[in-house]
Amino acid sequence: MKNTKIWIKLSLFILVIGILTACKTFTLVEKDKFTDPVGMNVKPEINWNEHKYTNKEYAWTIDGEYLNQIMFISAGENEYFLPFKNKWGVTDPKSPQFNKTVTLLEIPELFVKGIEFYGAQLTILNIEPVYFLDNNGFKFNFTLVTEDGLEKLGIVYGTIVNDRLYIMSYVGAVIEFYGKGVNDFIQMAESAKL
Amino acid sequence: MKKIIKYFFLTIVMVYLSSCADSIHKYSKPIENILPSTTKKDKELNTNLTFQYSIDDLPTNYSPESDPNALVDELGLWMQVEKIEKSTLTAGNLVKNEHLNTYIKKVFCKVSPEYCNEIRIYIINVPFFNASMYPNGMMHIWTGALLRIQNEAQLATLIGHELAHYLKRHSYEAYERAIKTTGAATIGGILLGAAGLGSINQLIQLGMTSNFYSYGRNDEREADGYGLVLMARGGYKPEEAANLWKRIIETSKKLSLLEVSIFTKTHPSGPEREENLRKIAKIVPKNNSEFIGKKEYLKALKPIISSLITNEVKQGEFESSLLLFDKLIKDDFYLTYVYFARGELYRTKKDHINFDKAIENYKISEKYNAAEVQNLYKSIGLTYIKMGNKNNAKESFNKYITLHPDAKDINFIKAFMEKL
Repeated sequence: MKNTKIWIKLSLFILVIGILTACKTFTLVEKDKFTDPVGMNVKPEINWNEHKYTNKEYAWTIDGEYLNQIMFISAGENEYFLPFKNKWGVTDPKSPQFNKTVTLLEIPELFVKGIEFYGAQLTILNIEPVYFLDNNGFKFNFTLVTEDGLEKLGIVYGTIVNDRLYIMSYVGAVIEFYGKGVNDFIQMAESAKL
Repeated sequence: MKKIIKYFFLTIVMVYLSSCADSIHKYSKPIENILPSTTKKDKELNTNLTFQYSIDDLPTNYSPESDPNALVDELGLWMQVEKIEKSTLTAGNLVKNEHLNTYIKKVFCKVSPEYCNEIRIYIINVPFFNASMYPNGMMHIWTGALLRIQNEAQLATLIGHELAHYLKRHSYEAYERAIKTTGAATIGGILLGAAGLGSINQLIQLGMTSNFYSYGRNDEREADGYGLVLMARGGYKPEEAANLWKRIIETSKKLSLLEVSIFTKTHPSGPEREENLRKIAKIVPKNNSEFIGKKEYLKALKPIISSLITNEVKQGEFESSLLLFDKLIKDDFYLTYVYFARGELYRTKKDHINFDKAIENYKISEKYNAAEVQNLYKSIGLTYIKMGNKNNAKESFNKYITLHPDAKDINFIKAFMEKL
């Protein structure tokens, strides 16, 4: 009988853990306070909501990730970024992967590949050289149409520091939602430090 | 009690493992085993195929809305398919190029003047071979099919085949089967995934879990037969129908697992299909049926050729893409682009990277028309960087800058060169 109780408790515990881990949780990122998602130190001027996908990928949003979203990405040697996962949660080996032989010039095309894996069609508008995280990097603007036809705009900043890739991207629906976070994103990207 | 709980756990584990094992099994099968085999009964049927198809058997004013034989589930299904058509119209991967859409519509109208204004054709940007006909008169053609078709007569074959499914009401029957096996509540999502409007992720999941496109072998044979009759009546050379399936067999030898699962596994085997079509082509009623239209077809693809090739490289199956590119080279198909694409495969595909081969292919592309493929010199420059040859890299980037001074990344390339 005692063993039976233990089994039931264990079953319930596993069930609760399963439910909790399946839920997406957000935490408040307060404005005017420094924070360092994936090692990039930034100070937002408006409140955001943070969701940690992994220790190397954080997402921030104002109105929901589908409407506006900042991604903070960091990838080291042989690590995937924007990983495309199958239904068992295993990363597809065709997902973009960073290693120290990848040059800065290749990052935009890898980023596009990663996004397009999810069914969106992305067009880069222009790529410019910029300083990002106090290093030589790039910035590009893009348009994106989701699989269900929603038009979005986006900006990406990226650089490689000490054989590690850092990306900050912002994407939002053209109508209303892009404008709500873009200025804060740009000020954060342009003042971000490691 | 303890035993019940243990059995419960054991059952869950067994179910989970058996579902995994089933998927692994599907993925590890060689293609020949996945394709349906030809039975003795099938062979007997095949011998009579040539006498079965007459254009007079096809309705000239078919409309599923007014069909007195409509099935009970059809109204609900109709609404779901209408939703898919709305999604198609706003889908990010709908190909809107006017020139190409007009051309494909023109080919359709040659195949079937009766339904010229009835059927809506949408080109969907998905780099796999597929086309599908919906019970409301909507036809989807994926761009992967356009890259594998060799000429207008083969395009007419594909269109005729899909139209025959519609006119013979195969699509209703197939979807009705799917409702029974899948459940009406979930069918909308699966239909949407099957349309190619969702992500590659959805397609893969569909391919692994669904038997959706199964019309049944006899339905496929019937669609082949009537499709051929329709294209020949439109003035197209009937032998090209068999050549299309020959092409599919050839390019399927290294077919991606996804393509196997979403298309070929539910169709009659390629060799059987090719053989049947050759038989029918000999006796089909002809209408000056000699037109092949290779030049016309290639010209129509020109506005989207860069994206067709780029998407084929992006889809990530090294061996099947390489095989396809070899076939395209033999066909003299936009060689600048195809050699460039081969170079891209060798430069970017993990486990197959070979910078010497990449450069070799880029150089051939360069000989045909260096200015035509915008990223050619950028890719050459990137490859030389990987090879540690900075001088050649700089030279290539300079050519890129000279040839494409308005390129969207020109300042980025210049800044990058300064650091070399």
